[in-house]
Amino acid sequence: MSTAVQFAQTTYLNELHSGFSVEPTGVAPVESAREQAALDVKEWSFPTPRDEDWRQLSLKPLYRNSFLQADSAEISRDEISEYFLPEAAQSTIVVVNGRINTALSDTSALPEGCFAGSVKDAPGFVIKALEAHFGKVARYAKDAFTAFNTAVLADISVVFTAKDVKIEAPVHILHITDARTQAVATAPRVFIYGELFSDATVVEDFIGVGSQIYFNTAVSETVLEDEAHVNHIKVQREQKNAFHISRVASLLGRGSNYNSYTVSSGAQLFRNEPLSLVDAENAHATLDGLVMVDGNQVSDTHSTLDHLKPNCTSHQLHKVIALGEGKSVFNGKIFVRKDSQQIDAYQENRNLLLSENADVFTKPQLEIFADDVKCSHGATIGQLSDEELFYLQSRGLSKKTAMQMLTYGYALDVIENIPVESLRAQLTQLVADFTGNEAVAQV
Amino acid sequence: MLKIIDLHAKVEGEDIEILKGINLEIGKGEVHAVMGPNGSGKSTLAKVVAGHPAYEVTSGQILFDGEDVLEMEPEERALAGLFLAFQYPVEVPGVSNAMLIRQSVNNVRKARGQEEFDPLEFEDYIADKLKLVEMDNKFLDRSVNAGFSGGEKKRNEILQLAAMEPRLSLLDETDSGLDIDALRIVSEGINSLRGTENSFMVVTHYQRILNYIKPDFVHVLMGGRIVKSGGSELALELENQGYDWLVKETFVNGEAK
Repeated sequence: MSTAVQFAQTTYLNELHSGFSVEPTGVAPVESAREQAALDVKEWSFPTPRDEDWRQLSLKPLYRNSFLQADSAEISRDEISEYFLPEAAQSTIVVVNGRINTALSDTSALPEGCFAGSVKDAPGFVIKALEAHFGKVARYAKDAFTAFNTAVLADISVVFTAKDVKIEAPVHILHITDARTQAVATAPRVFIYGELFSDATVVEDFIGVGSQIYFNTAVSETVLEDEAHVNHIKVQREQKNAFHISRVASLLGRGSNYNSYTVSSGAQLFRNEPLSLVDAENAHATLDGLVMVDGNQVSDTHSTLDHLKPNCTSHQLHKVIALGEGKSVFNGKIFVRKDSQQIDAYQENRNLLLSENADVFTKPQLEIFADDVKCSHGATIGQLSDEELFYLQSRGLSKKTAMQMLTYGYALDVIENIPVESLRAQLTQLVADFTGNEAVAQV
Repeated sequence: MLKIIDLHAKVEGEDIEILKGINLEIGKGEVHAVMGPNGSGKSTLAKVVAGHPAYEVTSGQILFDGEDVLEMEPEERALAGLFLAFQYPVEVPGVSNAMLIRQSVNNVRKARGQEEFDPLEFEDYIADKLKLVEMDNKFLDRSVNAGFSGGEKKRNEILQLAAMEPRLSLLDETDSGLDIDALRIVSEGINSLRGTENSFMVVTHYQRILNYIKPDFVHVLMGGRIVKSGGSELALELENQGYDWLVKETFVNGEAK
């Protein structure tokens, strides 16, 4: 159902946007951000390979296609049952085509003073937080995709954790794109807010149904007040023909703790831009990732960890497994501002190339303006070691099985830190399926 | 059972020959100790028999029950009943011991035409083997060798050996790095696996482990050749006198006699 090119590259999002109608949310700070974003979409052009940050990623496969604005769609529980997490039985928000589906959602496990659901149902305290922060955390300079998302979003999934409260159950946001009948574009949006001393785990999970191509511009913003803790897991397991371009922004308060884990195996073209603004002392940010590419998949992570204040720590382990003709790009920027002394920043990008035709690009980019900091970074591109393979072969395993087992072990490093058991099991299976490993360990 | 005939081998891609004509025959139920100073080629011999890809055999033969081992992939050798206990067991993070050993055991069983174990049957089967090396059940859930102490790694090798029931076990310096307790456990484990049908080649630098595992034959490897063979008394002689007297006895003007 997708129609062939009729768009010029530089104005692609603008032209797409002009065909979309607006569904107002009725929430003032959202609507005023939308007005500005609509202007920005017009003004900010679609990136080209001439832009430094897009040099390794061609968007041609995307802008050759036209997409229709996704309507609300009917999905039955049975169609998506395998994706539900038992731990989140009463803390799940199901989002279909960017709109919250209340019939499939259940947030009854949320403690008093907390909120998880549609921005349209949000209580006053959530609106206040939106007024202060909505659209301001995702500070992506002249980024047409963020603007596009803000301009066309139909709803926002909000997770708000009240002061001193820990939401015991993980909050599961299941984003579904319905591409059963036509090629659609959706704009899922998430806003996570943690008050003083609060604690929550949020899982964002992206899946698709149907066989048409689709285009997802996902944006999430997380704001942590002082001493707030959030584990933020993003699972991108879209259909293999999807386009997924996302921004995951966070703003950290004093002594707060933001742990982000991204696992991706889906989409033909995936671009993710985590942005963590560590803007108060004693805060910690983790931006770990596991990327799997096979076939002609392209995955591009451009992250920014910005240490704006002293005495903070950060951890970034980004692991890649490339099969087939898969291509992975990693560009990890870490800024340590002039007065941000005593920063301890760790970054490591490890790439496992399992085919001759796979491509990996890696670029750690540290810009340090303070003089008393500890920043380490490393990037490796490698294959499985002969010694490891021989060890497993000498145990009666074929070379193929040995490779699968080692690849699987390599990937679990990132997954084992995810604090939701059933999700860990799902992701372990995802990795096993990817590597073709039939024996699955218990994690 | 194992017959090595005039075996020459070098490191893949290099010109220096490490094994310079090894002849060795190991019969059913026998325990052979291969001793020698550092760099003599004794570990290389074990690895070449197991099929390590870092070495290239330039001439000679290795026959296992008459079959040409050099034509076989490492896993085929393992399934045929050859087992190498590594000097430096490899850590495999993320892969549990249970997962690896179950797969190994089932592959071996398949190769022998036996039914594969389901997870419950495997649990029973491995429980006995764990006792043999005094290992706790929880070792099965841990990643293969990851974070294991030196002694735990060596015990894990013997656990795998016991589970796979090989006919010929090549123990590559299994004793090195072990404290007395661990050495006792490992040796007792090996002794209990000795039988009339299976054989061992114990590669070692020191005589110590041979106090526990009594060899039928002792061979001294120097400069890539077996320079002396004898009974277990030869090991004691080496322990008391070192390797120097053999150098004098076997080399004249730097050349082997």
